[in-house]
Amino acid sequence: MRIPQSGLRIDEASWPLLQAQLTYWMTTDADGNAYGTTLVCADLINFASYVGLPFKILSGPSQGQVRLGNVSAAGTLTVASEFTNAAGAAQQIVAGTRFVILSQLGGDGGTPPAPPSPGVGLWMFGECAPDMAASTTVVRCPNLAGLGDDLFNTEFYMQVIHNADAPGVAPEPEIRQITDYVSATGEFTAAAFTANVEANDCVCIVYGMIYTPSVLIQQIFDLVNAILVLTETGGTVTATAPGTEDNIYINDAPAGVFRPIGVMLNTSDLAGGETVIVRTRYRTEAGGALEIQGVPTLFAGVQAEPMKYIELKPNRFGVQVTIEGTAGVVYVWEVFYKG
Amino acid sequence: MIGFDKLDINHELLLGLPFREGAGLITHDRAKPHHILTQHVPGGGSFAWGNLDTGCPYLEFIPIGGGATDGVYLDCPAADTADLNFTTGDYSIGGWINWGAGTSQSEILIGRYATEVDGWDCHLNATLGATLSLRHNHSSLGTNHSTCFSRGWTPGTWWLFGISRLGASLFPLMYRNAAPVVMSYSAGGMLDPDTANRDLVMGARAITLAGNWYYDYMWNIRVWGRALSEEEWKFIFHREKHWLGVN
Repeated sequence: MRIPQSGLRIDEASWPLLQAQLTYWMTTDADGNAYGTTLVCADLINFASYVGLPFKILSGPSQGQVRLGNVSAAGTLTVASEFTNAAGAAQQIVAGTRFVILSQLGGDGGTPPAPPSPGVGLWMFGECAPDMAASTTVVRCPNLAGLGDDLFNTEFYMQVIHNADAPGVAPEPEIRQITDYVSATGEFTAAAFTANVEANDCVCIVYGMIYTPSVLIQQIFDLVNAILVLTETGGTVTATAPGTEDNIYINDAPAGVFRPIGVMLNTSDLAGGETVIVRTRYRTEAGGALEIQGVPTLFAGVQAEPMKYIELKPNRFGVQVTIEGTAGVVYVWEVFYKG
Repeated sequence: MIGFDKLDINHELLLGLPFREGAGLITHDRAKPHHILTQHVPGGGSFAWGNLDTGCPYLEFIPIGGGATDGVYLDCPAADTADLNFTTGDYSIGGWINWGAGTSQSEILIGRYATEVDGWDCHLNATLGATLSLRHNHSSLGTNHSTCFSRGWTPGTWWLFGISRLGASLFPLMYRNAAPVVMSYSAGGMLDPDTANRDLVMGARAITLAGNWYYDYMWNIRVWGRALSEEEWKFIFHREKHWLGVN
């Protein structure tokens, strides 16, 4: 413990109170890092670790701010999140800055609570530094500094959970594998997101064994989602006249492979002396022509079995069923397809 | 085998327009009512069928301006759309849009209405903060309409819009990519639309059919006779977003 005694008499009433409240009082003797997450004070090597206690800045642009100590090594303290200035930007703690380590008492009035170090969880919340450069691959989270170089490489993933200036827009909620981690700065390198991760965005760091099952679930969902669904549609078509084909069913540019099954065509409006020709066409390559398949079918006059069925084949590039018949005859139809 | 109508999400589906034809002037409804919507081109505008790189089909509305005959629209006669005459009951409207801020006018997305008289309509407006509005027209109630809207429907981006209206509530909800959005309502909320005997119109102001043209793309526009929950909108979003390249 090192606390100031200057100006205090040995019987000063505030002395024991000061001893109870403060653990260490000193001035930094070298510049901390530019991200505002470290303080340098060589004298600290003479004392036990103060990790887990609050560090308070007493002078400079960050005076009054308190951060929890995360790591203490070789006279350098790393805090859980960066100190900032009046503009909200990360503030470097330079040499000559006065600071104090506050005493933090546990609930039993005695033993301090266990420090959070090493602070590695299977799921961790990261705040992108206010001065971080926008990047699709490099993300710096000062609050996740000090956890050990390369600790997250390969086995952890980063997900952007909040795009601060454009909520809901990429790279939110993309997730990428982490390939490098720099402990001193909290800088992660990950496989490229489709858009820049930017200052003040929020990310989470997820252990692969937690993330992987959700990937598998997504893959299963995608498989199920690709199952063709038996669907129906239909309508009413009035024949224009011989010489003109009217579409009954057409899917001119399908989204992908699908399975037309058949068309039911109600010819009950067909009267004596009236005719209709049904044609089926397929396209077998992108941009190709719709070509007739099978012999066009002629129905003439009143039909003893008015409901006709036109069987269709699997398709990828387009299918069409048309009628050409006596003007004014009305046909009700429906098509079934798996799509 | 999965049956379209057996999927929970398709229960009480009254209109489903996947725009799969890819050619012609007619588009068909894969919901049970089999509504048939017909393209109308009163002047120099046009329609274009197309496919995104994913293969997803779409229908593009291409007006040439804001004039009385500059746009295009889809129409289905009133007699064939009585099932879309919402008054006191529940309903939902949703689908994918990628709209363009073509003029300073509101752009009619879909509606079955007469302005300030009866029925309901949805419209977009770029000049008011990229708003999506739902309007209930009810001249019988003294106030001719009540409106609710949300902002942030940036043009030029694919959005899944969703509107859920519980008949018992004066405050319908909107969802963007299945996430609830901040809503603004007319004082007193959304009163019931007056019963309407109007054509279903997409892409133009009803009755006059001479303005408020919709610009650009639509896919898989749907209407239900029930109020979809947020979870149901999320189901739709996660099932379909890959077609639009949306995360």
